[in-house]
Amino acid sequence: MHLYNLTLQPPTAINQAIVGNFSGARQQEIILSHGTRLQLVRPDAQTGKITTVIETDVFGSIRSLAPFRLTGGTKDYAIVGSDSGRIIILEYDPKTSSFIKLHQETYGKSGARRIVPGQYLATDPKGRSVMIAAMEKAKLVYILNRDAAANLTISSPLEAHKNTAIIHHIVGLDVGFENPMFAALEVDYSESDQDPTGEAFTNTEKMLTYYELDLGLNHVVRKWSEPTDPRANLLVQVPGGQLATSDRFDGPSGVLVCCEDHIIYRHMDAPQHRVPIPRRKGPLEDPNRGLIIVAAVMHKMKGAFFFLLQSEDGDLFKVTIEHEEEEVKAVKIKYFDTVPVAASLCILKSGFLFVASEFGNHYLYQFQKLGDDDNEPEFSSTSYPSFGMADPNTPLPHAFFRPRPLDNLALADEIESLDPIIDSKVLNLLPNSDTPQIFAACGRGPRSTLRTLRHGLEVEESVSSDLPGIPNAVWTTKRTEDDPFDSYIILSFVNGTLVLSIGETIEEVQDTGFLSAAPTLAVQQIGADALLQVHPQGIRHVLADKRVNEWRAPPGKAIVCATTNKRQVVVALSSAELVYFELDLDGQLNEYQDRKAMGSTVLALSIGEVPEGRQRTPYLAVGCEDQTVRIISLDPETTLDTISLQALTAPPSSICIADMLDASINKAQPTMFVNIGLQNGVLLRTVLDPIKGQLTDTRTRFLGTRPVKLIRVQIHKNPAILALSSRSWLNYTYQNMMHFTPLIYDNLDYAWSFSAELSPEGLIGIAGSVLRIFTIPKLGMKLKQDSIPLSYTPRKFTTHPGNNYFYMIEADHRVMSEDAAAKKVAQLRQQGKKIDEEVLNLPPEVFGRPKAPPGTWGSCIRIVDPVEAKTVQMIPLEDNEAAFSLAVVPFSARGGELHLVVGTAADTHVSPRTCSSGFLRTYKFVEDGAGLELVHKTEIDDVPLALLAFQGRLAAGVGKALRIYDIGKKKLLRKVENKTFTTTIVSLATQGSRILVGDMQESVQYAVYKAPENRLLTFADDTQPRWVSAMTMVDYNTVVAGDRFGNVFVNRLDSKVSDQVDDDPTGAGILHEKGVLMGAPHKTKMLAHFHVGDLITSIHKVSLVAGGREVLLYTGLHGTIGILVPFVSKEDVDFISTLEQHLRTEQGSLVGRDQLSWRGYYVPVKAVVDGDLCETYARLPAAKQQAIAGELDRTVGEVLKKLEQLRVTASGF
Amino acid sequence: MLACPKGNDGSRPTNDSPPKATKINTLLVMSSELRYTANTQLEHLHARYTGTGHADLSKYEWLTHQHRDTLSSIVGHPPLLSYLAIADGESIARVKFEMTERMLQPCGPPPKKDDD
Repeated sequence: MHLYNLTLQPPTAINQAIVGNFSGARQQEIILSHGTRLQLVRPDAQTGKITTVIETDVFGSIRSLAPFRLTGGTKDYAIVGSDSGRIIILEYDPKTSSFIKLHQETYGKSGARRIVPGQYLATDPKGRSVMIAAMEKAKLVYILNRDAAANLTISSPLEAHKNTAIIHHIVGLDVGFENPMFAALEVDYSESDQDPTGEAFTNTEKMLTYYELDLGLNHVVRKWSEPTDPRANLLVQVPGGQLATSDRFDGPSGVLVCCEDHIIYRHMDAPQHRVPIPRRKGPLEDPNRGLIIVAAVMHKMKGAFFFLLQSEDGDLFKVTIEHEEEEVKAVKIKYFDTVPVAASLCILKSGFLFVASEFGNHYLYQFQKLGDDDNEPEFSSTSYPSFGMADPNTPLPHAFFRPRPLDNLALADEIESLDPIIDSKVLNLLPNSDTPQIFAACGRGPRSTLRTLRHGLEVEESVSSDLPGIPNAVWTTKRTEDDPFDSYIILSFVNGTLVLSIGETIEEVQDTGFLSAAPTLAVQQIGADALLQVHPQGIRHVLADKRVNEWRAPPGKAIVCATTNKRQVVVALSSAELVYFELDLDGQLNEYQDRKAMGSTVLALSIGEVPEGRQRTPYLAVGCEDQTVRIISLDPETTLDTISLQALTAPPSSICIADMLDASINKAQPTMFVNIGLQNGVLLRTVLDPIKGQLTDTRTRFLGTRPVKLIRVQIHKNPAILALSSRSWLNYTYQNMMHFTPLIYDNLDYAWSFSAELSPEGLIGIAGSVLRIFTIPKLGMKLKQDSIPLSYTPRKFTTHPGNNYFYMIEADHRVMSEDAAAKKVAQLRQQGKKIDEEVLNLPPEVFGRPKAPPGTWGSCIRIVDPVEAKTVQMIPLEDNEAAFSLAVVPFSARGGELHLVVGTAADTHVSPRTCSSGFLRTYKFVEDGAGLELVHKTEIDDVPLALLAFQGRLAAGVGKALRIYDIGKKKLLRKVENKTFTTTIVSLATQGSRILVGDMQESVQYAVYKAPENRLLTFADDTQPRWVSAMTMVDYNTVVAGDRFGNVFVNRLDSKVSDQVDDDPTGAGILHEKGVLMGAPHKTKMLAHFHVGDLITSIHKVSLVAGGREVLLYTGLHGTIGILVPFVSKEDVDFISTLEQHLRTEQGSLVGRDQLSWRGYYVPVKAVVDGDLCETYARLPAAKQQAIAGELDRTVGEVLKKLEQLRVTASGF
Repeated sequence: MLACPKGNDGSRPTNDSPPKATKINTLLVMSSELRYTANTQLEHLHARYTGTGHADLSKYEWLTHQHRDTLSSIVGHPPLLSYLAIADGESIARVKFEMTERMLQPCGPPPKKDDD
């Protein structure tokens, strides 16, 4: 077995976001770290929309990111701390639109280790140095400078290590142009490690330490170290230093130390200021719960600065510091607004706030005001004795605020994010779809959703109107060359033509010079200000003054097809002759003296656009009934000579020549593509050699069951091709690469570009007798998402064999169920407490639910209709019960009647896992599955994490035990049990009498049920410990599983052992066999192993294209969706592995991680080729592509074709 | 700082088994000559790489190292941090903070030394 790993949807979670002028232009950009990918996005200050500039895989794990700018520079660089043991400085090059690695300095081993720096980064605000730190001890300082040629230089590292110190956070201090200083929050464990009484542990202090880089001595010294609050977690830089031009101080310098419940301002030799973090005053809030700051951002404006700090609940607080020169007078804090809890906050100079959510969609907000003059209570350090530091060990009295809807911010844009995907299913449920959809249970808490992912581009429809008849074609045209927008819509019917003018309304016009009594074959705005209509009997050339020059087809012959551009017209007659016209300099259309006989009926014609600054395009493509396409010269020297000929497998139905940019073929200039649509629904894409006129590099793709129609359109100012068959497809250039994606829209019969004032970038199409105007808003988004909101974090969902509903369980820890909350409120009311209804009824999807103590759960069972995208029924669980597993079981004792069994547990604590009691709830399906009726509830001793229907009974993984239950009258009856599993059973799968058991720590074990003796025995396990997070059976002996560390692997049992076990009727043989390596008597063999870099949450064996091969599709917690494709031949394996090997040496990782060691993070890669790396071949410079292809004895085109074929046949993407 | 006693034979049990052939014997002599330099190097490595084990490592020390390594690895791998945050119903930043806090004393206070 050899697999090809391909990422269909890269991770969408954002770990960190930084803002800066990375392209050196005035506009600010944001770099997003998706863990294993870097993305550069640009928010548009006018429209408030975010557009992606570039996105690259780094083949490593990004742990920290920091922007910096050299003194006096205008361009920001990005420093990356990763698990490569190297510090990386990246520059964005707008010319090539790529990240360039300026420096790569090795300082330690690879891997996310305790004492190898990379976890924290802090930069000097003046861009003179950077500190990179580990979790413990190690801190390195690099000096950044310019050389004589103004290139960025980096020094060798200076050590600022402190042994036995755990580092919580580091930050660069703003000291102006004095020696750069860094502040670190450290805890020393040496004493507490030596003291058995535990006294030293309680007395351990958290130190705020300043490290000064002495630029003169080239040395780092510990300048100052003072204890601070023991629950401090975050440092925030406070502006400081003097401007060179004036004596004024920018700020007081120092840091804000964010602690649990408090914010402290601190600086060397300066008094401290402490303010409380305001908290919500809700009836259900626990006033003793600690509150920490999770994200912070500082923003400097002209002569002022402020901070936005975000608490765990998502509330933003505005912190301001009043200061006179360097002396702080007061620190003030007030509530600002509530947004989703962020991993990173970024403020842009154009007045936007980017919130990179820790889970779920990311948001861009626009500042409406800065909360300066509202009635929000403000808390100042001056209102407390000694600025709140009278007794640093006792907390300040609580400060409260009332959360309210957004006031200072307004939502501008949203980036969809699947993070976290917790469970998924791949099924084809939607009507009119021939490919399966991915249903993903995403999100956390009240912002959770069930998302339907469909492969294709989203279409936004703006107009849909009925027409009197069924047209067969539609065009739009401008009146003159310089018009910004289209003026006419021309609809061609079987027996006539309708012309509509586009104005404030769209209405029919008669006086356009177009012939309305005949159908139209082509419409073109030709020359400077003339229009052209081709109809079966001739060509009408309508001049600007409404004079019409008409060319008539020879008697007895009709025009069958035509192609036009701004200066040329070619028509084919029914006599299989071609007539060529060209516009002369006076604007007259002249016929070429000869006609060309083709010898076979012409079915399709196409010429490209006239290249800029040229008179004509030199090639004409003609598709004939004899299943050929010929390229014919239009050059004045060789007019109408046949240059080349390509044979086809079916008669062509449409041809389209288009010049499009594809960086894999030509980086600098557009390539001329000849797209040939066949009558059997296949599309051929060939490249036209601009010099020789030969067709090369043919690629085929099946589009649908109807003859293909091809139309050249403009999408986002770039040429693109619409291919219409039983599905509509768009072939377009996005980020310099060519893409081919279906549109998620009704079938179109014909379409054309449409440009009007209200929709400058639209398309117009006809579907039956309906005229539609639409746009394609987001290119590059290949999966369209539709969401259904959920109440709590989804845990698992299952399908029903008889209907299309999903049965889903949701559960949230530290959340009170609605029922418990209502009881508590009623109790408070009884005590005569005043209840703030407004705070109580805040929408949880915005404000979250009040945090409850550990061991409290909110949970429900939900029935969802994925086709109608709605919840059918929701059953909340009461008495602090939470659902963890479910299965649909056909109990044979009830004649195979289907039941839903839900595994729940009450008063569950997560770590260590305990519960007061577990339950198996058995439900009957009522109302055709739209409802559930509780049959009975079976008490069990532990949390049931896995349930499975097994031979007409239920197999349940309850803690360490695997049991089989049968249905009884009052409860489920335990039939057999096996308690030999190591940790906890987390997943189950079955085929025949075999049950595969995924253990939390001990990989997948094979068990068998021997009915005659009623025995449940394990007979095989893995040689390696694995923290299984998802698994599925590939075949009877093979299992694919993912683990918690981001690996995916395939294990197989020897078929001899398998047969031997199956042949043993009683299981006595297995029972008495000797265990091997303290485990089962037989071991599985690892066949394949690969590190994905994201925690695998589900794996399915599915076929993604109609009639295609089965592949393994996996989802990752951070939103990754990928596939593992089995190779069909040994040749392919050799070819792709060699290509991968070449790319490994050619394409260094952007973070300096070795790709091979990244993919073999925990276990060496085995039998899996990294498709993501292989696909970077398309982005290599032409010379390197050539060199690699040469080594492989292929042409560049053949290599690219092979890669595309692998992707398309397996996934359709 | 981890203590590394000088002149320790390390974990190799070579001295216990009597030499069977002269060849092995010479090898032993060579390795004991190397031992002095190896030890100073080892000491240096221990100072440099916190968490490296040695022959006299106590169970408590070993366990504490294991836990600190695990905790810092969780903080260093974003998907793991998200996973724990979802399971526990806390924010990622809170989980990271609590993990880092726990690195101070992950396995409770050290056992009493039985000197007396």
